[in-house]
Amino acid sequence: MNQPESANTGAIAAYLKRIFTAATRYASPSLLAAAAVLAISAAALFVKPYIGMADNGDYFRVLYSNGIYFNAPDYASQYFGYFIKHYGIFQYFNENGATLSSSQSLFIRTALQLNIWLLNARTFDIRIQAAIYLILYTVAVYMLVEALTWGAPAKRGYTIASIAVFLFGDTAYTAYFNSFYSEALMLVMSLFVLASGLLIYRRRFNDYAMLAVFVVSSLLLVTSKQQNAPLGILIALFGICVLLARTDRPYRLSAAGGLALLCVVSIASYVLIPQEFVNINKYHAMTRGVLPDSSNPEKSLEGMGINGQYSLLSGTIYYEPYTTIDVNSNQMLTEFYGKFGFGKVLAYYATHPGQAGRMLNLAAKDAFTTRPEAMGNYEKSAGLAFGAQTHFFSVYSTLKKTLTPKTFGFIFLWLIIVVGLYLPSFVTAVRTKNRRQAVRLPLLLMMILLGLAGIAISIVGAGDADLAKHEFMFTIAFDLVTFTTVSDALLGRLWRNVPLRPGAAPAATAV
Amino acid sequence: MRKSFSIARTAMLIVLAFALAYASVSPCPAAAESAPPAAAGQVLLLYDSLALSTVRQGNVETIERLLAAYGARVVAMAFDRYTAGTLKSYSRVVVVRNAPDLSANDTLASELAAYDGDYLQIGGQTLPDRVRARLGLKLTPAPPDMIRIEAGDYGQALSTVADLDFIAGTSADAKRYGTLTSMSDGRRMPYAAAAGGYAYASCLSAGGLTELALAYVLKDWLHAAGDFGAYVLIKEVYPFSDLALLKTLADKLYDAGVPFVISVKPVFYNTSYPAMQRYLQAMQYVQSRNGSIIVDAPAVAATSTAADGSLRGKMSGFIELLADNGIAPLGMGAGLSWAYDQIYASEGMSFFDSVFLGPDPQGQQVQPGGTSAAFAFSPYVMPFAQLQDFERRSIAPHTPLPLNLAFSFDLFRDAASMEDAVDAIARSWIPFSDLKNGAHAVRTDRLTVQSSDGSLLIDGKPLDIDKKGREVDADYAYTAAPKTSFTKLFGVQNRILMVIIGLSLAVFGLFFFIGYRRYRRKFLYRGGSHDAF
Repeated sequence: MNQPESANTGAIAAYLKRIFTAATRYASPSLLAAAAVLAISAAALFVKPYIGMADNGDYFRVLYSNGIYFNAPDYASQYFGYFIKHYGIFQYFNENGATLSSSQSLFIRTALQLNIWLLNARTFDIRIQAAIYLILYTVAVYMLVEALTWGAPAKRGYTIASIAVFLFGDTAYTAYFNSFYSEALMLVMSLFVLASGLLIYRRRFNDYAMLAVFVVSSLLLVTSKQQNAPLGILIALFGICVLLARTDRPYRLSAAGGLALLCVVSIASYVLIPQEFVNINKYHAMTRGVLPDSSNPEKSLEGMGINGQYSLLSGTIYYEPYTTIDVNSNQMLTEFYGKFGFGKVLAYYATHPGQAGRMLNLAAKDAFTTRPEAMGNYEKSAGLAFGAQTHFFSVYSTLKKTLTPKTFGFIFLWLIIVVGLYLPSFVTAVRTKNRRQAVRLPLLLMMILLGLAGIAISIVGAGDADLAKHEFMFTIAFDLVTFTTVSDALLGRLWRNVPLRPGAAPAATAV
Repeated sequence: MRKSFSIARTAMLIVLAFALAYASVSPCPAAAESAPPAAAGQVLLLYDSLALSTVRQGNVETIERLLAAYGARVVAMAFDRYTAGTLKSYSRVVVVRNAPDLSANDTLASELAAYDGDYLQIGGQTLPDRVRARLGLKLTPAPPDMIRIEAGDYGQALSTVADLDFIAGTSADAKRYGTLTSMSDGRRMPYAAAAGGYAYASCLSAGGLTELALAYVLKDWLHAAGDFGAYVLIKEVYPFSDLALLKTLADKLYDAGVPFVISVKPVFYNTSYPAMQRYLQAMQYVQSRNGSIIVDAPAVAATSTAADGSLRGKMSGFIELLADNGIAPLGMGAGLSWAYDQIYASEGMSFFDSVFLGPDPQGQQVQPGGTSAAFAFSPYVMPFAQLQDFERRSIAPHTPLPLNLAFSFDLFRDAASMEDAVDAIARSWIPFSDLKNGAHAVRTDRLTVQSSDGSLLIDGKPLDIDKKGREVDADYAYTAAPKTSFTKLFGVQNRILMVIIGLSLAVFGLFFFIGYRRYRRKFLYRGGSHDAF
């Protein structure tokens, strides 16, 4: 290298250093990460060609009951293929009852009102809803990165921030905001749950405020989708550690009340699952779960009191365009759906561990796919092929899908490693009776179990049908836990206790 | 008592036997029954409303099915969808008036007034002048009262029909059809009148005798010629149905001398499974008991789209599967909506020239088309329970049927209801026709299935219907064994490794034991003096 070149390199390095110094002065890693995620996602969602998700036939359930309808004349031909951003708003009494109860309706209705006030009273633009989700998501990313990087050296803090952008700015995630799938809400709320839990652990902000975020986001997560109903019990169980972080009575009462509410809502959410929804899942639990891998499907069916002839349905899906029998017929209701429940399916897997293992491995194949292959991302007007998917800011989801070993063994190994890495600090915290420091491992374990429960519920509840979408909870949990672990590793906080903000809150070290 | 019953039963059986014998020796009935009806061409069907939630609900679909039974291609259009000049393209038009308060718009009214093609109107008082004059039609509002209708060999009391008009008078040369009798004053009026390509019928309600009454009018109006037959059609036959009951039904009908048709639901997946073999065996058995097989339309998911493109392959695959197993499907059973869907018609129905079109008000369509598909042979499907609601004017029917009629049953849920139905069929005195006596053809890219004069042919070769099918494989392998290579080599390698690991563990255990002993010995107090301390 000659001298002028060396001088140039030095100048560039100095310039970059100045920018870095200026950035550190005005924007913390968390603020930078949130701003970058906001900018990238806004470019994807609100700049042409708009990125979203095509309808797979699920939209009508949540749309019509909320006063929105399909107004595109060729809507049916765009199923799976194209994202549609405009919908009609009912101008008369809406006779469509709610087919399912989901917290998603809160966001759709809010978006609808904003749409009516700001844009149009007849046409709903889904980007209003995307904007709401994106704002919340940005806050969630800020909180998560703040929880991990607060008090960290600048360079490492910004490295973690850039990893956060790489992971959470991925359009495989954010494309859900321009859709009516509840996955968008699950993503945002999962981030809030972990971030608020970690912020309590780090005593970064007001504990009561964070507890409120923890409980509310957990409630919204649990009620976002019927499949998530059992997750409330898990959160409530592990949430006890959050409850124990402080000893003062008002905090513990608030936390206990929140967790009890979560339990009740979780149970109610499960009980209120509509029958049609149950039937769809039952159909898939049998035809895409128990039957295809059974050495004798007829015996498997007869073991559950179902006519063995139904083995012909093995491998088929509920939405099969042309089928032998109408899946909603009375015959199916009485002779098929009416003969078994998810308990029987669970018992079947328990008594057939080999088949259960194969199903878990099958589930692992899709567990690292964030963007379901079945649905296109572009509008028809973009002129791209039916079902075309975006590659814009999708490196992480692509790498994850391509490079991750897709076996359940890998998932198990990942679980062991994460728990093993955090166990020493947890043991130390317990030994030293520092309860706040003991919050971290249970919190991460909770996220891991939420993900694994997502897989188990998918298999028992719907076999291998639409696994990439059903395992979304695991996808988020994997990314959140891995991101937390990598961040803590970068900051050298895996084995040792993390510095907490010295605050006025009562010390949680007393027994 | 028992004796008189047995005499009556014997007499009934003798008459039935005669009727069947007559049916089987009548000159060339098969060809006539299933010969393509006179080319009815395209018919424009105009209606003011679908009369939802009234006694007339479903009558537009009924007239569509009746027209289809005569091989007519139908273009159905509500008054308010009518575009100027459409009438010019049609030589026949049917107008259904369900609501007197809904009138045709000016364009339609003026074009109807000038229309010179064949014209049929059902209900209403407003008719084109030329039609009214040619028929010499005098209409009078019917009293709000029970009405009795008679048509062919049957009669039925109709509950009060709102806005019904009686035909009080017609021209001398107008042909009159059926009768409507006012129950209060006993006035008898014709149900319909026709003359010179024009016709008027008082009313049409789905599920009543007016269906049959109108068929007599349509037969003449469309110039349909030939003898028509009645068929027993068993629907809702699934691979999941009670197949033993299906076989028993076949035996019962065979013993009663009643030929029948079963409409089997197609199976597109897992067709090598034992469950499918049982289904095929049941069909083979039915065929051997003088039953004919038709393929029912598959169920369509609400999310199906025109872009799916799988229907043709699925349907041809199922037809070929049946043929490969010695089963000759002779036609198709479908809801009316199938005939109006471009994808269904081109990809699902184009294999068949014989289609039994039944009602399906909730039919799911993927690409609705304007014009219905027409078929050479398309019996009008009427539930047998509907026939039982009609009063018979004589013990055995003697008036020829105005159209091919398929009396349908859903496959019975238990033996008792099956027995009742077979008994009712026998007591109906209707000489039922055998589908395979007619000429029907089903063509896929690979093969052709035909019937003619009672024979079944696959690619021109006669089918032996008594041939037994494949036995159900009790040891069927549902899951393919995973592909393996060098199994033996890896088996030996595994054993060697296991021995090495076992030996290593043993050696490790030994060393561990020795080491532990030595370790213990190092700190073990063996007694003696502590003086050293």
